[in-house]
Amino acid sequence: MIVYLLIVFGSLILLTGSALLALRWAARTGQLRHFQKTALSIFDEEEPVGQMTDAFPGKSLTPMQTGDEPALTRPSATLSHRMGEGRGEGAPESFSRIRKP
Amino acid sequence: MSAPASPSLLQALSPSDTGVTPDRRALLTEIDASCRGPVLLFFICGLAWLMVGTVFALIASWKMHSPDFLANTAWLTFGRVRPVHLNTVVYGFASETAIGVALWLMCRLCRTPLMYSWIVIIAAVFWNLGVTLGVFGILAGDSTGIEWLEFPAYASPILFFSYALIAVWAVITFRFRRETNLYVSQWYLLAALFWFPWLYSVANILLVLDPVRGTTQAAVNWWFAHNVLGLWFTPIGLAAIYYFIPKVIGRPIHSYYLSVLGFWSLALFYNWNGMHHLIGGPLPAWLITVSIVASVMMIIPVVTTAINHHMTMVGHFAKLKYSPTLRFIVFGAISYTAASLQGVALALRSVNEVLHFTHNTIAHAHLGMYAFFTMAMFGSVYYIMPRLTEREWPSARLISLHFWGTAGGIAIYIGDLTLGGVLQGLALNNPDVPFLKIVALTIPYLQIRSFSGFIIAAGHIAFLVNFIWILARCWGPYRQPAPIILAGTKPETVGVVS
Repeated sequence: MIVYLLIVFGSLILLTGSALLALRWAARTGQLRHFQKTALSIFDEEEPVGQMTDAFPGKSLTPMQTGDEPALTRPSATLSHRMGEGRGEGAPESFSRIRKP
Repeated sequence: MSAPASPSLLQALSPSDTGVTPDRRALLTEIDASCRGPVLLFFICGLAWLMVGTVFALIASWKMHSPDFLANTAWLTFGRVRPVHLNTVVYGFASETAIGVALWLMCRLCRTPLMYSWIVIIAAVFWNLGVTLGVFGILAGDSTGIEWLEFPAYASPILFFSYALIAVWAVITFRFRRETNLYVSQWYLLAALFWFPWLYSVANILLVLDPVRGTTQAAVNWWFAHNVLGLWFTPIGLAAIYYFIPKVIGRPIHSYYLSVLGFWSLALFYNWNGMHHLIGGPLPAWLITVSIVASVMMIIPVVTTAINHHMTMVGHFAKLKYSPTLRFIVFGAISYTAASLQGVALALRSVNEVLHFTHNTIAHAHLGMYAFFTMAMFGSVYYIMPRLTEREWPSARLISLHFWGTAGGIAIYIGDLTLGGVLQGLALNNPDVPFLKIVALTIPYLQIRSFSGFIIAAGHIAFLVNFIWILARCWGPYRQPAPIILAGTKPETVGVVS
């Protein structure tokens, strides 16, 4: 039984040890710096900060209704953006009007 | 797509330089297109298992207050139906949906298209083969009898092989990432992808393939069962929440520092938690005490995460009316806090001696596994599917029905069993109360549980219909060309759905 307990306890220590090693790697490679930049890394020109990217189907909001500046443009904004630019069709006329009232 | 797809599989896994230089971040369209096949496969199979698991859940729940129901068929006795429910939802629905969401998130966060998609598709096929074999094995009476690991020995190695393929894929994708800074969701995903095979292989070897003896079985069992929640499902659920809340509302996370603190404290404390399930059991007291201390330490990641999510949402709560993803995700985030704090309380000896072995534990498990994780996965699917299929969800009403059915149903379920469990626990600790009287006391709560199960099932059916509908818009006789889907949207329309 002691051997098995050691296996279980060893796994506990090894799992924690692996986390510590990962933390060391993160510190060495600068992952624990530039937090603001990292927080913004999920946004880009396709889905910028300030743009709501999800809504119920067939619905959209005006900026005033979301209380943001700028705010939600339309459901699946990326989708419409993509369709408008990638396929040359399908982007609703509302898209540009909402972004630039 | 540019260079990264060119190296061979061996080159991609080799630590040596492949000669491939990440030249640019992939467009989101490229990433979504590359993920389409594998992620859809995981979502479709996951949803199928969800429906199977729901049926078995209802049967098991009904049997709790009407034990004669389907009792004459060996395959449908409680001892088989209940583990089939657990394993179909855990390894069928939850794990497959989690893998699908993790694949998509990893590609997006690494800003690289999904490479070697055939690996992932093979993994999906084998995973489903393993789950199917396991389910039939349990129904045939081959269950191992070990909670959360009921799949027989001939099924679990298939799951492990499949998972190994996913891990290989994850290593490759991470190697070719084009985003140097790791977003907090990536940390959670990488940790989950690393931890799960460790847990699953160790537990299967020690409990199923070459079983240990005595109380060590219980120690390994609860080390696995608790950690599969906290080190597999929780990280993927939190990865989704940390990605989708900022993404949907268009605002960065309130404090990235807090999110990092939350991740590392979870990584350091969580894996010690499992032994608190064995309070009062014949294990060394220090082992259980260490686990209780670690459980209380979990307040740090839970509170930091809760503060961060709440502060990110402050000023944006009105958007819950407009975004289906946000509704499910925020519901999941709130439930994460509630489930974790309840878990901390349950780990205390004084609380545990009342509530252990009662229906309260079932409520706690569903608060974590359903109200938190499943709702977060539903929200993720609502976000991802339109991007994969390039179609909008067909029905806002069905989404609404799905949300209110599942949210309302699980709220009733948890409230009911929490209360019933407390009364049951107090009665069990009172030597003057006959056991049969305690059984009778719980029956109304079990009946309400079945009722709430039907409400949840109605939500699942709404989701299933909407899911099939959106797929039908891509293929088959109801196919619609993508651009038409978005036509007619008017900016003046206010998208409030009850």
